[in-house]
Amino acid sequence: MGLVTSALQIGRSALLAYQNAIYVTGDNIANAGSNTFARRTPILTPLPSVGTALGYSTGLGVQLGSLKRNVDEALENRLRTAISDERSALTEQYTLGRVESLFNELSEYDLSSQLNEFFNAWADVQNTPQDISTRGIVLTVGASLAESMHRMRNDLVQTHKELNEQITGTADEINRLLGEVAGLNRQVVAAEAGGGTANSLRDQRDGALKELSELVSIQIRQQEDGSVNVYAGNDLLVQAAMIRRVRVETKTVDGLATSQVRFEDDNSLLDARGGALEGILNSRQQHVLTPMASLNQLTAALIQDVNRLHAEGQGLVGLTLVTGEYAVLDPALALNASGAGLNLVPQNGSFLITVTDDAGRSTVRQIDVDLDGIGPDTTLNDLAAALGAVDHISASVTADGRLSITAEPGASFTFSQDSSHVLAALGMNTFFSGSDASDISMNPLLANSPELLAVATENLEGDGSNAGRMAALANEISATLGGNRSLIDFYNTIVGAVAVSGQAALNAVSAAGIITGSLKAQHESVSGVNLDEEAVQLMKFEKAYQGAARYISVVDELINELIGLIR
Amino acid sequence: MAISSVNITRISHNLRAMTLVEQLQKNTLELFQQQQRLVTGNKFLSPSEDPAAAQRAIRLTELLEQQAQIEDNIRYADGFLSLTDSTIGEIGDLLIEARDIASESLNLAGDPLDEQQQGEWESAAQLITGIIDALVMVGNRQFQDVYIFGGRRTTTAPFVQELGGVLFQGDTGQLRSRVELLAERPFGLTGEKLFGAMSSEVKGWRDLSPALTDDTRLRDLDGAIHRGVRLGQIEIDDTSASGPVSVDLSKADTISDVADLINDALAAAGSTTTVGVGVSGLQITVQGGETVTIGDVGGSQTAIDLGLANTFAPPAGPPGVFVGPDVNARLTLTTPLSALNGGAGINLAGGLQITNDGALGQPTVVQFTGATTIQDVLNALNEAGVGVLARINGAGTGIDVVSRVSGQQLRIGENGGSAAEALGIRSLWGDTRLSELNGGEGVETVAGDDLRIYTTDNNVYFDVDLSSAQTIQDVIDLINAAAAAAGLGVGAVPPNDFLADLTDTGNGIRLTDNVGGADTLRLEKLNLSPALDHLGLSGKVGSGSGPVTLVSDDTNPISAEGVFSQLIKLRDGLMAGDRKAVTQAGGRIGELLMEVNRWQGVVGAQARGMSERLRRTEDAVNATRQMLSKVKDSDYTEAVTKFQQAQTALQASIMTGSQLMNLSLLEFLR
Repeated sequence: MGLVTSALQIGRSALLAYQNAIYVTGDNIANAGSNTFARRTPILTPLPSVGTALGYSTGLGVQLGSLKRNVDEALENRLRTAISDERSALTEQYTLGRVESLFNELSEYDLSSQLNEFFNAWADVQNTPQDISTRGIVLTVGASLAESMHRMRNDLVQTHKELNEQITGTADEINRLLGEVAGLNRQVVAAEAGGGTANSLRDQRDGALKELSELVSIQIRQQEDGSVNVYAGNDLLVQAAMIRRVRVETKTVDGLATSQVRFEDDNSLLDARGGALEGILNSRQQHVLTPMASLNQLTAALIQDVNRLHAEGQGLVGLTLVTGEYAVLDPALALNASGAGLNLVPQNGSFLITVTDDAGRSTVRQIDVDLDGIGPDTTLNDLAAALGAVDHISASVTADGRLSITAEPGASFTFSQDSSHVLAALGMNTFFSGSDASDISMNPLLANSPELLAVATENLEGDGSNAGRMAALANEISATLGGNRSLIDFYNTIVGAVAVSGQAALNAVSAAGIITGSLKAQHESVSGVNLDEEAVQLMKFEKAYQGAARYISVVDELINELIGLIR
Repeated sequence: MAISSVNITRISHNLRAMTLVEQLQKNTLELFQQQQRLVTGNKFLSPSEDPAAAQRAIRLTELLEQQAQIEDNIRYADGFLSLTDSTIGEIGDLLIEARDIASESLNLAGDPLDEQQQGEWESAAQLITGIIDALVMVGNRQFQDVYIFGGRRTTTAPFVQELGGVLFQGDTGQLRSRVELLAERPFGLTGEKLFGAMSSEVKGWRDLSPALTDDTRLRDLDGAIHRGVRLGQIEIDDTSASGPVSVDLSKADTISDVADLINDALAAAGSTTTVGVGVSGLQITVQGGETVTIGDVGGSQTAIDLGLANTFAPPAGPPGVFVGPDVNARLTLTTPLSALNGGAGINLAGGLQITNDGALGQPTVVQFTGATTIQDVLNALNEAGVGVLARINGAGTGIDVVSRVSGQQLRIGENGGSAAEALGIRSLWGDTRLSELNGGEGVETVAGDDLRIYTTDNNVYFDVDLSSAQTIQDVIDLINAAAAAAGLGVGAVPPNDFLADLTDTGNGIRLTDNVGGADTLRLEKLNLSPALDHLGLSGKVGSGSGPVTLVSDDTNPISAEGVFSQLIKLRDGLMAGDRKAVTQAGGRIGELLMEVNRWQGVVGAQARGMSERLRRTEDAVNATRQMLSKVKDSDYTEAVTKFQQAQTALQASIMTGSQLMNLSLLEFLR
């Protein structure tokens, strides 16, 4: 019966082996569409042979020795890194696309067009300085420009805020995935404790790690027990079943709520070197805060350059009451001292004030602003006293440190030739209010009084010389920006920087995409399921199974023949 | 993810699907972008697609926006000049009409006029009045609510008939517009130029020489070499200092800032040298035996402009005080009167008299009580209500007084003091040339003596030969010399019985007789010389007790030579039947007509310049548009071709993809 038993055993083993092989093939086919599945290859091994008395040995059949999970761990690591890089680049590109659309260049409604429109409006009013409606257009265009700059800054702030929110969402997702990886680590270790490979669990874990690498660049260290340790840079994220959770800390930096990702345990910063998190952080700093700072710089320069000219010009009518827009912190300090806190720092110089009394008689007085650092320098209190000594006007310092000048009833005053820029610095007779894009607006004194628009430098209704100087600002080197740039040049530089960053981000996305694509293709080449292959395998195993079944049938016939001899 | 060719040995089902999806996405995106290019007509949709080209496009767009404004400005100026041009043509026509009226009146009339002819002349005068009215109307023409001849006083009619003539209320400055990308240009004509509306002017003849004060601004200095003060850095080599001293004067505003900054730097270097503000320049005090050299650094001109570029080396002993050259402080509205005349001040007691309403007009007295600055003086003159404009002259050395009223005569004289002379605006004074008197006809003299002056003791008289006299002062001197030669004590010479000088009330030559005779002080022509008449001394008699005086008429009224003045003269001449006045006015109108034609040529040239500028700007705009188009605009042929290509690629992807995805060995399993 040894022959019979052995023969049947061989057939049985083949039936079982190929049945299992067909199951594996079926599993492969079933997971053909899964991105996380690594195809299995059934490894069929012959059962050990048994020696016979005749001196030769025969095999005992076949068995499904193991299931090979087709994974190249080195490739997987590279793929995860590439995914991190691509995701980081994509995030930056997305933000830059958003910022670029805020600038809205190449359209007819961009800021450069508005800047030109503003300076062109001044050129118009130079032609017809006496015309109230043309003056009104300057005010409208100026208000619109101020609003656009303010809105652009608000849009950037909103983008900054949204990036903060994305950081919060990313941190939550990182925590979830860390938990998932740790849980799977535990399950893999348990499942593989008795030998074998927990392929499905490993597939799931690889999927979770890929997801995690989209958020932050990670490195994996395989452990002998089947678990993996996960690192971000030098920071351990997962060790076996233990994780280090992260949290979002929000602090105010330069007036803006700014979120950062820190570890819950030791409060250290998460070393985000890739993935969406790096993209968000880079975007926030380089593509939102940098243009915002440049926009603020441009706006501050616009305010100061325009105000410098406006403050020493004259409108169709004189001023009767002016209170400075900008306060000094200490009216007893020299006006150019840092403690005075003026954005536009006045310099040593002087200005003229022309007072016209109720009889129409004009008197010019020179007010010196001594800020040469030698002997006592002019303070706001000194300035108020000097102005107060001029007939028909009174001057005072308000409780909050602003200069206020009031003309007697029927009298009025105008300013001219301010070489010290102190009038603009204190916000006297200025065009714009505010200090940068966060608070730029039209001087409320002007808003409803186009006749106060300082178009002249010689106090005549047809004198448009100050308007001419304003119009020239479009192409002149900005006194505030320094260097050799006009306001419009500087704006173009901002737009150019955003555009170049945008192109760089696009190139980075393309480059990262090519690498990721290549690695994904390699990953698919190794781990992906090819249905044709599986069909061939299926046919192969089917035929082998059929062969085994036929073999059993032959053995059965042999047995029956043998049993028939007994009768 | 981009599709890439990779060295792979197997193609999985996933990879095939993924590749197809990526390919379809790429094709669709390409199709979308090409569609956008076709729809917008732009080569790129955002600057990041091609930053360099986008920058060029942005700059060209900005240039285009600025050029559009320049075009608007030129069109405005061009329209303004066209109206000015045609208006000057109308003025010319009116002047031709006036000249013809003068000519016809003279041709038709006999001498003297009979009653009918006088009636005709009066009618002609009415016509001239109509022409004056028409000219006032034309002179007040507006372009888009701007008076074209009002200068920068654009909302006030420049001409009104007031104060017995035509008062010019306009400004003398020109309108300006940015008709070029980087510069603005003046355009148009002022009424002052075209109509000669302010031609009667007493040009200040005295340099009021303001002294420096601590508050004198550097911008108000003409500088030691008359180039202003160009601020920069200076270097001082001082043997008493620890080393060379550099002083940055770029932030200096006043002359005292300069002194302070230099002294501060010198003191810091241990120097004993000091700089102070002198009357007309800076003053350097150097210790005896020390040597100080001041110069400019690297192209700076500051030391030269401040008059400091020099070496100062007093001998051993007491300190040497060096007074720098005059830095030529200019007169400004805020210049204190006390600083005038090199700090000696000015005596304006008594004020002055202005007459600006014809020979028979009463003088208006202008007082300067309480005046402390030049502006106070100018205000007092401008507010006198006599139609004059007092202003600081262009050089900043003195003041000019200009009549705004055409057809009248301007006189400025004293009012018991010497204010007019002190201010340099007396219309008749010592240096007035005889050739300017009587409206430019001058003073005619004869060979030999021209006049005889009888003192109050008619037995005492003397003759004066004026043939060598060039100025009023010469006449005065010749009279005094002749009086002295006759044995009289002239001026301070005892017995102080005769003096010729300028009157201290009004204008004129004053003769003061203290001889004490019983006769009258009088003058007589000699040798039929008309000099007596021409000097305004004809018929002048002095009588009474004590010192007896007589004063000549003011023979130097300043008359406007402009259009309205001559028309008014013509009208008045016609009304008065004054053939000489009509002849003179008619002739002058003919000259003014040529002047008007010349101004029309000037305006025409300006208009042609504007038209040329407009053409150039339009060419530039077209060139910019073309460049922008090349940089920014989509090439439709290329875009359509690319769109077609993208469409074909998409179709190919769909077809190959669908076929490949359907191919499977599983289909053959039975």
